[in-house]
Amino acid sequence: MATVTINGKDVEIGSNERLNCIQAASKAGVEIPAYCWHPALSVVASCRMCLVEVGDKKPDGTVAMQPKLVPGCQTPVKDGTVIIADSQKVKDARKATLEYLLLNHPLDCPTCDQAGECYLQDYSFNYGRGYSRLNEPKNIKPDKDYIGDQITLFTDRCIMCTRCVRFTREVSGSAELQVVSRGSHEEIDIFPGHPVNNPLAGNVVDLCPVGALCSKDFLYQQRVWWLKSTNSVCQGCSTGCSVTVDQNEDKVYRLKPRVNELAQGHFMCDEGRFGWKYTHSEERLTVPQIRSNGHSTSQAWEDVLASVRSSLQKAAAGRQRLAAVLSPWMTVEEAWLLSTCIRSLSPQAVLAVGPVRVSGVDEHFPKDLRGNVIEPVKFTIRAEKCPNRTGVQAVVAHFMDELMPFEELLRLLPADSSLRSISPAVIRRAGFRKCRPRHSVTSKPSSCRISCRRRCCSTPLTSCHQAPLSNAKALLSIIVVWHS
Amino acid sequence: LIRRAVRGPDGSRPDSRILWELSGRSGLFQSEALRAEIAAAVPALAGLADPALKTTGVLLETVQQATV
Repeated sequence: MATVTINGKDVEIGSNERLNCIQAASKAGVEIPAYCWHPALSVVASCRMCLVEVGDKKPDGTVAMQPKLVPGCQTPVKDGTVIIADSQKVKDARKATLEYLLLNHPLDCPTCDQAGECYLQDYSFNYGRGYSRLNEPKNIKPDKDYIGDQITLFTDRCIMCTRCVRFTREVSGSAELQVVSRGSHEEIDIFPGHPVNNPLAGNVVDLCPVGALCSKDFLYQQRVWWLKSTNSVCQGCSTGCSVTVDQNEDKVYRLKPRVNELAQGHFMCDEGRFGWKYTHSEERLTVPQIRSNGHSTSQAWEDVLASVRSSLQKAAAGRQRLAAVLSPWMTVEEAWLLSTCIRSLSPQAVLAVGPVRVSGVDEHFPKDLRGNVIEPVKFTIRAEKCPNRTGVQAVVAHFMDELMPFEELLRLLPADSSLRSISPAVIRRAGFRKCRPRHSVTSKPSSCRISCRRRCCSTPLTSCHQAPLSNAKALLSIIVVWHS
Repeated sequence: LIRRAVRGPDGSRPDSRILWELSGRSGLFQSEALRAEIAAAVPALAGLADPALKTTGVLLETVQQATV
């Protein structure tokens, strides 16, 4: 076990850990400020914010310090490394660096989207000088709205950390962003006609520490200090990216990736990032409806649930068979509740996992301009668009000796069954992407068993949009009753 | 209980609550208790009782092997 000393405090690091000074200090609870360094990107040591004093502890106990400050992001630690991050020399260096970074930075914090979560604000408050000695006019650079369909660049706010440039080169592989010009005229820009529209483009907004790159979707929508964050999981595909949902007064404003090395790492795709709008769709059904004689009427929840349960009990007690098609969009808890409910009514009830939507093939990043994947893969957008197939399958496998594919369940049903007329292809096409069961509502827990002239009926449990979902019979979780 | 990000529109109910009531269970939906119940009953999902589930999640190796 290696021991590193940070501000006089010893911290142990694993023998296989390869840490820089910033990471080692973080283990000791010491913050070393940094702009350009990011754990998922290459090290450039350009912002100079993480300058620290570094030395080595000799076997005789003496410490030999390096004569100059070194960038903490670029300096690996080993057994006996001594880091001093709170000396006057380090504090003066931080003040000088911040003063330099703020020379041309506009003081537009009141209208900046980043205000409240801006590293320039935070570091200026914690480590800055508090005033500027610049008497000359600031170097004002033009804003670049054209930089991407989802992102915009406030060029004069940029501190040239180049996180965004490195992201497009190292993670997305598309390399749309570059640094143009020299010295204080340096700017982030694109090659004309090649905007940042890759499937991971939104991540550059999260990476930007100062509000230069902003999301057009979120721009001027909400002050960040009003937002409340809740940890969640993206439902866009089976990667299951860890995310935070930022909302205010029950309105979602944005999704941001939450670091999870077991899932996706530090980033998320734009499909997941901007794919939450269905949450506030006007088409969502809010009350259960019962269809009778071709007409749907709204009913009270209590009445409908009692009616469904009573109908299922009667069916199970008679000569009818029960089956439940569990949506791969369900949580494990929901799948367990539905499975135990059906099995308690009829121990022989069939459980099957609903159609699994697959779109294309897995898309790996980084990719070169020809679309070839560059190893090592750093991010994957899965072709399987169900977030929890394996979880639901595990629940179903507990109750069934053998997992029954949805298609096989359809073959079990009578030939004139209405459910058989729904091919999995239709279900896959009919808006699954926009209609997922999170916070959704029962749409038609109907007693259509009574009015249905056919021998089979289905009770859709979770579909949150009225059209085109209901009309297309694209059902999420279904209870099926039929005569054996 | 559920830590939901936003409440659904007026009149709507979360799926979990619908299924909880359809199952005839009494009281409010309790995900914690439900996960403990599942973890005890299904060996493949024993990881649901792991506290890490609330942060980064847990890897269920046996589940990964399941295929339709």
